[in-house]
Amino acid sequence: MLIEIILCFSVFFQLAAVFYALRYIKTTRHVFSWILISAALIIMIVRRVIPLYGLIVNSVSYPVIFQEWLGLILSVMMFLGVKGIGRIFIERLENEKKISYLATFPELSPNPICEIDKNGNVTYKNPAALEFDKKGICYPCNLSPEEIKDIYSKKDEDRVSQEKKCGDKWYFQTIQFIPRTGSVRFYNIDITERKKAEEELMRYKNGLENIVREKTEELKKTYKELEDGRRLYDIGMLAATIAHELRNPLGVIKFAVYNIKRKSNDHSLDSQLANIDKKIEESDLIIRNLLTYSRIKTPHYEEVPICEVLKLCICNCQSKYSKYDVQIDIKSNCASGYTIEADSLHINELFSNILDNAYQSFADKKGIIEINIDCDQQKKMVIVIFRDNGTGIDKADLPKIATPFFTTKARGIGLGLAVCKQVVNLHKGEFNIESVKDKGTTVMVLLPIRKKI
Amino acid sequence: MIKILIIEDDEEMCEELSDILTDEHYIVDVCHNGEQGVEAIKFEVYTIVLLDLKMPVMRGEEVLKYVKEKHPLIKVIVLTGSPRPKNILQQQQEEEILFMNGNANNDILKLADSVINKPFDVEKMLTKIKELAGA
Repeated sequence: MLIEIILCFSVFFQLAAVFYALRYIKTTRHVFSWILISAALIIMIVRRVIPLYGLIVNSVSYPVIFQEWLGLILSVMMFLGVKGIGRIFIERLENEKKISYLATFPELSPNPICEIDKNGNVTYKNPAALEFDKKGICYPCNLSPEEIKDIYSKKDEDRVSQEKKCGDKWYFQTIQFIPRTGSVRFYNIDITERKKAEEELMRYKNGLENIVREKTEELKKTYKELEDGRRLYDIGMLAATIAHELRNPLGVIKFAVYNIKRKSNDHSLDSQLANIDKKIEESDLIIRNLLTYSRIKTPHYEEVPICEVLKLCICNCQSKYSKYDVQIDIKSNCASGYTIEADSLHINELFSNILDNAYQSFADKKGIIEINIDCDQQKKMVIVIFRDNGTGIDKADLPKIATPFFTTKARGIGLGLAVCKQVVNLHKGEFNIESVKDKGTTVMVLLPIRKKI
Repeated sequence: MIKILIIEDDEEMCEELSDILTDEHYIVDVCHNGEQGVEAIKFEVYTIVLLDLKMPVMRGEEVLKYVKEKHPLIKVIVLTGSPRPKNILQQQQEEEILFMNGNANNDILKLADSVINKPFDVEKMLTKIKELAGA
């Protein structure tokens, strides 16, 4: 009975061992599984052979029970062996599989990856890196000895990254140190596109900065011009108010003088009354001159026959300075009636002031004024040049001449050239004065033919 | 007889002006502000109104507008202290018709029959008045 039970157990373990062996064959398909199966079969055979062996060698018949115990022990050992070895074997196999799967990461990466050892020899290059080598294209795995040295100096930092330029490409390089082997791994990502975008942005930013700087300069200049203009404008407003307020009493005085003359019938008073009249006229002239400054604001554009206006100004000047002996030469290449878009009052003021200055620069009331008008359609500007041979301007005074209230004259309030400058600025033209002391002054005025916005 | 109304806030001006005009055989009434002037025009028939622009209570421009709307036959001569010539070349030709500078209503001023600048040229002014009175 016991023998049967032992036999059953040993058969069970033998079958279990074969079952495991078959399972491993199925999962691993490895030769080792066959070995296990073979071992199982051999043990079974041996188990049957042992009694025979005893019979032959010693002619001693072992008790059957002993044989069966031995068979069971062998079966259990076989079962445990198959199971344990199989598990280890499967684990190893799975690990191998995992490793080979992990290896595809660098292998299939489109980015070049490489490793160098302590001596700077390349120990690994992934296919992407090898591809670069094949094509002979620059990529960051080709390192110079200096670079390797430099990288090793950063060894203590676990991980270093840097941007590296290679040919016309940019790479983001992550450097990993492997302390165990002393090797260095490089993971490179192509960031050329990003770098390009960054550069573009940078250029754009710089461009913007430049534009802002330029515009700020422009604004500053405009602000200064505005400030000057504002000052003149304020003067003008003041002048207009004063003029208006003064003209009323002047009017009354004039009527009163008229009445005195009419009522008194006393001719001995005539010269006094005439003097009063004359001084009223003079006061009015001062007021009228002041009033012109109130008109120096936004131009009221119209077609201005520039030559005619200039001639009119010359006529006015000649009658104003009737005691002077001044020769005026005009050279002009403009058709008669040629017009520019401007404010006629402003232009009149401009020319009158320039001529006034020229006349007043003749110390001995004698001189020559040359005027040159150039209406060059192509330049879109009319150029008027006034050249006199008067006393000229001191070099030290030249920068100040266009400042309001600057004057070197005994009479005058120093607004003439300030007004000229303002008029030209308002018309978006150019105004230049050159002068040599005792030789003469040249004033150049550039005015746009068509209104500039 | 030709009746003239002077609307002007400066009393001395009114005095001297009415003295001159009376001597020229005009009948002269005087008002010292625009409102009084408008009242006067309602009750009396005037041929010519001499009108100052800068006045208290009612400005000259308003009076001018009122007169030209209600009594278009009355001739108005505007007296002004700060003229702006329309164009530098025109200024030479027509010295009398001048237009106001600044924020005064230029268009309204065009309604006036004549504009005379202060300080006045008395002879010129008298000629103008005679001309308008005769018309």
